[in-house]
Amino acid sequence: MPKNSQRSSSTNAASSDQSQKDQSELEVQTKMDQVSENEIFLSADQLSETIREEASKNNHVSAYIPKPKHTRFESQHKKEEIVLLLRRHPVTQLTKLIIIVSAALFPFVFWITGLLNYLPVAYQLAVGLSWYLLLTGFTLETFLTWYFRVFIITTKRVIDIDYYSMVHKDVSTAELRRIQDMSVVSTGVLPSMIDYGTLYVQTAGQNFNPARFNNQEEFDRSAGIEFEDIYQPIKVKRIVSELIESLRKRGLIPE
Amino acid sequence: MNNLFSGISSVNNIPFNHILLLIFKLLLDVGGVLYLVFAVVVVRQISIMKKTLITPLSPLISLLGYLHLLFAILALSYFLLLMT
Repeated sequence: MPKNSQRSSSTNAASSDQSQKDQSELEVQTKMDQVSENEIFLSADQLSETIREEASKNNHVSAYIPKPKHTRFESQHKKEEIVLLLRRHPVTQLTKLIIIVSAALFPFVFWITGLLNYLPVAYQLAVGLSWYLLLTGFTLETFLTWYFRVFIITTKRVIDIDYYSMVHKDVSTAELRRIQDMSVVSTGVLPSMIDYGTLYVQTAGQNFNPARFNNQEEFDRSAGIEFEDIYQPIKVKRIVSELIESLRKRGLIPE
Repeated sequence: MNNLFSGISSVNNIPFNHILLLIFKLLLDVGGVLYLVFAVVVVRQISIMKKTLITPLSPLISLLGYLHLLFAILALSYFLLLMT
């Protein structure tokens, strides 16, 4: 067979593969659209065996909440159920807690030693009031950023809502069908003892090689969804895998 | 020497301590106003955060924000009413 003909036949094969792939993706997309249009509701229990065994939780100040009751999020679809709501493990807030307790006790040092006695009593009170005011603000900010910095796994997507401070919000979303790979990183004595770590979720079209990034910020921007310091990361990874597998079995995710 | 100290300890017959306290009070007032702005921002932020994640605790968290704002208002009032 002449070379040109070979090239032409391989090009035709490649274009045929591509069109088949496109066709398959189109079918999946159509099926997904039909699911949302026809409002076929797939519950968390239907999709994951692990989550089926978990009891629904009503405690909203927790780091691991399976099937949370009376909880919704901003961009939640009509027929989308929250499978897991995760926060950073409370142990990660230990440093801040120590700072808060120490700061709360600090004015007593001045009171006992009389270091502020050169000021009139009204001014001593004003200094104390300022200190506790700042401490209240710091405590409130610490709590709010912990409480609202959530990782949500639903029957359709994974969502990472980050609040690095009160005025810095960052929301990342990835559909379950787009997830390609997941890895768990848990380093240190405390994470090993208490069983917490970070779950990295790679989505389609992303280069997932942590070593090639120069710093954490660069990595965070490029590496898709990152569930930081979550409780039982391996179990969470299993739940996400089960969700993907179930959707694949129902033909909602291509093989 | 006495003259030198008397120069430092009074400006236009106002005791030196009084001037220091006045500066201190002004700092408290300015700090209190800035903190009040921060407390308002916190209340505003809470209302935005509440929309991001809706839980039964949302009203309680709003209450925390308003209590914090009230604390800031009371503290600023105290600073403004302080001596002089």
